[in-house]
Amino acid sequence: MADQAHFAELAMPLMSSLYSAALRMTRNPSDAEDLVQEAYLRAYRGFGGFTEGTNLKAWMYRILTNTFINNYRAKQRRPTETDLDDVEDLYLYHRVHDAPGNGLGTSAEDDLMSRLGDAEITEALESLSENFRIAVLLADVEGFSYAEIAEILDVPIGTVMSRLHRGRKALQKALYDFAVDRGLAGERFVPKEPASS
Amino acid sequence: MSERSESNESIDATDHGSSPGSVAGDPQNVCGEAASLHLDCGAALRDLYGYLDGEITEERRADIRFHIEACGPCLEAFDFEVELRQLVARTCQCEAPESLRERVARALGECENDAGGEAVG
Repeated sequence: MADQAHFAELAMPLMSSLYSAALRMTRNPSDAEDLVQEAYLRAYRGFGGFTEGTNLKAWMYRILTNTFINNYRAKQRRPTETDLDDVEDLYLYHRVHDAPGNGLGTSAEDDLMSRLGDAEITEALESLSENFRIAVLLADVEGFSYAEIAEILDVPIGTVMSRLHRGRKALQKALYDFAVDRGLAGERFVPKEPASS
Repeated sequence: MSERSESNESIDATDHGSSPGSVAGDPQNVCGEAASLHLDCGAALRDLYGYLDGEITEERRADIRFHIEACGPCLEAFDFEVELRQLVARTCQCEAPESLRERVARALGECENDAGGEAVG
């Protein structure tokens, strides 16, 4: 049984990571702070049930995710579920790499990556439906394994893999759509002429 | 989101043992060089995320590594996904505000006092 006196010492160093996830879940700093505080209080009260030496980070994420789902989900605007059946794997890579005009070894992919700013990335991630967003956050940002994510979300591993597969496609589609909207890719994008010396 | 919409998409990651890319026990694979041809691009790309996620067997991993080292287009695709993931991760990592740390520490302190029955005024 875990001793509550150790809780702060063990759990406080995880706060930036939990806050970052909370920010992407709630989409605003004020709700993110409330969510993190609530999760810490719940974790503290339940710490007796945590087996010391096991994965505290995954345990804290489980509490954070449950708190979000129970307390905040109702307030969230629901993103419309995009139809992903026509979205191919590696969507973004193919859109950019196979685009007409890309050739002769120029790296259009790297160019696009350097044009994508924080705003496009966070907005694309936040446009995903909750299940996709949380799965992608846990895997791609936090680096949890499929088994850990299954544990955190209390779903079978097959569901984790399915959400990741579809969530990553949805993220790439959203990124591309934002990039096209903002003239960073697609027909409206005009590459800068190399500066003549 | 409904469970139904998820269930029509199932990734089968359990068949690595019997996958065509598996070199061991394959009488056709008589020399090392054949291994890169043995695993085709489609098979390598299908396992791209399993590879990046560290969720495939060591043997399958070695097959894929062998393939992408020999195949420029696949290497490009793998690199792109790695860089995109790093970019997303970097963008999403931020520091918790100091005010939040203080707020949580204070709230935990109050909890502790309540639990100990020694309310400090």
